[in-house]
Amino acid sequence: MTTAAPPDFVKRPGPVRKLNRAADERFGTQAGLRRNLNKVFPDHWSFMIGEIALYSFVILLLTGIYLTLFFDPSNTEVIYNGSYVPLKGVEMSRAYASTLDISFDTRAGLVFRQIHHWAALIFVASIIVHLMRVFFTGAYRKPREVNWLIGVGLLILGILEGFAGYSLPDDLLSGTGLRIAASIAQSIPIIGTWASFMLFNGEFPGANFLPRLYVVHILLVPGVLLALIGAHLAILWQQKHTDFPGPGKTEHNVVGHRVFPIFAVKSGGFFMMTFSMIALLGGLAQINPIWMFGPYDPSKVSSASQPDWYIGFLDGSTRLMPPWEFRGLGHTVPAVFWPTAVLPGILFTLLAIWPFLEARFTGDTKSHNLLQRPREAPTRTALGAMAISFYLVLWISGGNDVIAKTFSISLNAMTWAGRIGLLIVPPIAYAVTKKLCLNLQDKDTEIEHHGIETGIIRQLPNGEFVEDHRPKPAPVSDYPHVPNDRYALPAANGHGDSHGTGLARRAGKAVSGFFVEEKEKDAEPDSTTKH
Amino acid sequence: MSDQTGPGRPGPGGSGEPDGPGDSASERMHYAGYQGEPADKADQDSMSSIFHRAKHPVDTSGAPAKGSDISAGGPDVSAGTHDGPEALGTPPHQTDSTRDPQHTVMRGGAGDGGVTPRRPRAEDHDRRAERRAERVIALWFMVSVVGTVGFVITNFVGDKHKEYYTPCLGSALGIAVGGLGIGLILWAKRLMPHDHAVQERHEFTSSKEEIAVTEAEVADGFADTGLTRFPLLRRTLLGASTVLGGLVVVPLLNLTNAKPGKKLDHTSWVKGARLVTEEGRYVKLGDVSIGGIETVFPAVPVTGASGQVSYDAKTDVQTKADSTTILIRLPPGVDRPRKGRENWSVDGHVAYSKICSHAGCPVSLYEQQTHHLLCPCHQSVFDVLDGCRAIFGPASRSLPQLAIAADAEGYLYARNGDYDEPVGAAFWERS
Repeated sequence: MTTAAPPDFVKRPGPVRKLNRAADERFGTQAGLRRNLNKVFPDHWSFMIGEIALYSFVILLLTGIYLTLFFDPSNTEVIYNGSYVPLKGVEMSRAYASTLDISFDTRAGLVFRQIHHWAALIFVASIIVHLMRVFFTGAYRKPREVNWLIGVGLLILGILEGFAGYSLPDDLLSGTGLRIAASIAQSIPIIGTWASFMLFNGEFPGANFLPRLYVVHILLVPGVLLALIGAHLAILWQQKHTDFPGPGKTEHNVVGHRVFPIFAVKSGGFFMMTFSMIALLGGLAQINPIWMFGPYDPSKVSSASQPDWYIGFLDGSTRLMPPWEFRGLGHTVPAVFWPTAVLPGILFTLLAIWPFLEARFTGDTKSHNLLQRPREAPTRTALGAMAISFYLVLWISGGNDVIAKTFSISLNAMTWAGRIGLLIVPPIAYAVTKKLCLNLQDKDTEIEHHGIETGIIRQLPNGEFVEDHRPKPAPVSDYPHVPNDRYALPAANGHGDSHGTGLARRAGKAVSGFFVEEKEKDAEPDSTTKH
Repeated sequence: MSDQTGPGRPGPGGSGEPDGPGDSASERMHYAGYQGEPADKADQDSMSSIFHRAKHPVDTSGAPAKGSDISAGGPDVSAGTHDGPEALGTPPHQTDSTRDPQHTVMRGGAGDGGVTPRRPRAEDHDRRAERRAERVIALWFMVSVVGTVGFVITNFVGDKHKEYYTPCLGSALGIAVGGLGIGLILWAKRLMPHDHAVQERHEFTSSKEEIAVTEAEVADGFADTGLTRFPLLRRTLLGASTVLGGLVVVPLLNLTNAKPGKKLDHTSWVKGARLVTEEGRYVKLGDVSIGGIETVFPAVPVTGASGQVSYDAKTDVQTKADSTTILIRLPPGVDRPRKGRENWSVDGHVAYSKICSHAGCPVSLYEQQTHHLLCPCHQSVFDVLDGCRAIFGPASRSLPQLAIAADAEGYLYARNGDYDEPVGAAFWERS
């Protein structure tokens, strides 16, 4: 089976074709366009988690632009005179006042503010779930370590960006968060005081800090995020997506849908669905009702003041940290330094270098395009479970006062449970997960060799009872074998080599002509062998 | 399911072939109830028609491929009464034989690298189903329009001060984008060919020759720069760029106009400053009942031109950030003042910094029975009776104590001036 013969050149082009040809005459687009439109993306629900992160970022950009039009990031104190009666006449910063105005006196202001906040929560959440998918399936292995690193960078920046946005309205909660951030900066040995002063332009709360934070939130971090997301996608595009093993799927092919039209339409639809869900949340589920907290006042705090969820693990680590402050030689390393600066530093560093650690430990230097099931790599899966349990203990401890109050538990007991749990739960998670993986492997082997238990017991002539096993059916793929390209181009027309030409190779070709011409792999070896 | 007498069914070589598929029963099982079984490579040829869809099926070869056994393979045309192990969800009421799935889905035989066809959808062989799907999709698109109109109407006509405003906007927007999203997904899933495409991956590694040449060219280029031949050039270039790179420190330092200096060591409390509440009331003896607390700020004495002393209450954000103090009136005789602090309290009134020594949150929860102060941020607990010593949680330092006294009129004031140690979170320069 082959692709169809090349179609005829349309002599009298319509407007779309004319445009296409105009572009081609200037940029030589056709081969690249064809290649990219025919790019195949595999199908699996777990590959859509990263898409959620991407789409919520787009939603953040859209709603964020809307909010910038109304928000005034100014520390200047004003007397509020908007339509929210309980705060009338209260002195507050213009940042807080304009956030109140967005919430109460701007058309579609509150709904977009809430969509923005929800999208931020979902952005970080989907990054983390996506990270877990990538981790447990081994998708980060060579050649995709760089994309893993970029992903870790995106996670860190996403958390920072979320924290900056959470801090901008200058309400009581966000001010308290900033105060803690200032204390953390201050706790860094040697440079801490300067770091805190440079960050806040003076002693906390600083002079005109909010405009500075605003620029970080709407320009610096989003710019870097955008660039990194672009690189993340470009690398994904170039390297092609990983896929789960399946019948007919190999390390050397991708089975799925072409970008155009099915993948594009499905992805567009999925973007709309993500947007829809977040819009419904933004409209129906109240989030960050800053008017209930009041303007920031360093002398006030509300009980159960919780940060956004993705900061929770740092809050928890701060709460669990014993009061170990190092003093000596006229200097102090405060207790707050370890759980808020050192711990995340270690965690994110380990996360970032994990692919390289694993390659070093396993000696696996091969490239992989097929994913693993978690059970196929018990040590990795167990380490992942260990990391998740560590994170969860911290995260739960970040709300231990709320839990203590809700369930009438002593707060001190909660803290001690967290401290002990942080040390003993992860090893347990490790052991249990590893055992589970190995047993699942055994089960797989058993089914492979003996078949699936049928529940039918037979008595043999010698009196022995045996259970019948039926053989495991071979896996059924649910895709047909279809070539990627719809039309075959004659190889001589110069477009035949459009596949798999790395940038380096094309550049090399341009530079000098004495490369040994590599033999092009046929684009559809399977299909051509049919004839 | 397939209608072998269908007029529009221009089967390839095996057209109208009466035999069933040659597959063994076990192979058939793999198709999991897929009716209209594919057959073999001969059939595959007709599959190029997938892109032309059913109305104009094109057969590029029109003949069974070499080596295929027509009698063994061929389209599964005899399966009119055949029931697969698992019947297709939608019974294939075929109304239009031109929609025969074998023309619309490209399929591989059982031996084709293990790949097997996807089940056809009702839409693939039933025009009515296709029309139904179209109508459903169009309905969702219309739902989207309703949502958009609802959003516009709510936005302009709705009263933004009413409770319904935001929920209505959110729901309308959700319906507007969601309707379009559902429609798009249904469109792709039900009306577009649902076959999968297979694409080859390519190695990223370049050939050895390429690597060698690239490396050689870069090396040659580097040699052309002469950096190896002219050490003075190399060193001065390196030096100049290092110095220039050091320039980034300047904007970094410019980030603050205020050097830290000793600023963290001091607050706005001065000797003689009265304790003033947020409302501007100077705190007198007797204002606070036993067991009560009051958050106070410094009211700095200002000597006017005529010599009389007035007090300037400092309740701005900057002052509050480090000078906020909590005044507690303890029952008589329970306080255990530290050495040298015996006269820092008046009549059971003790004053401590409200800024937590851990991370700077206001320590605002006071337990009357135990005389404990709790910081709501990280749950550090301070024992007021014992000089606000940190007794639980991550805080390791006591809250600094402010020495207070009462003047002749009974107003409380800062006796010794500022705290004798920095308030708030610890830092490197602090001993």
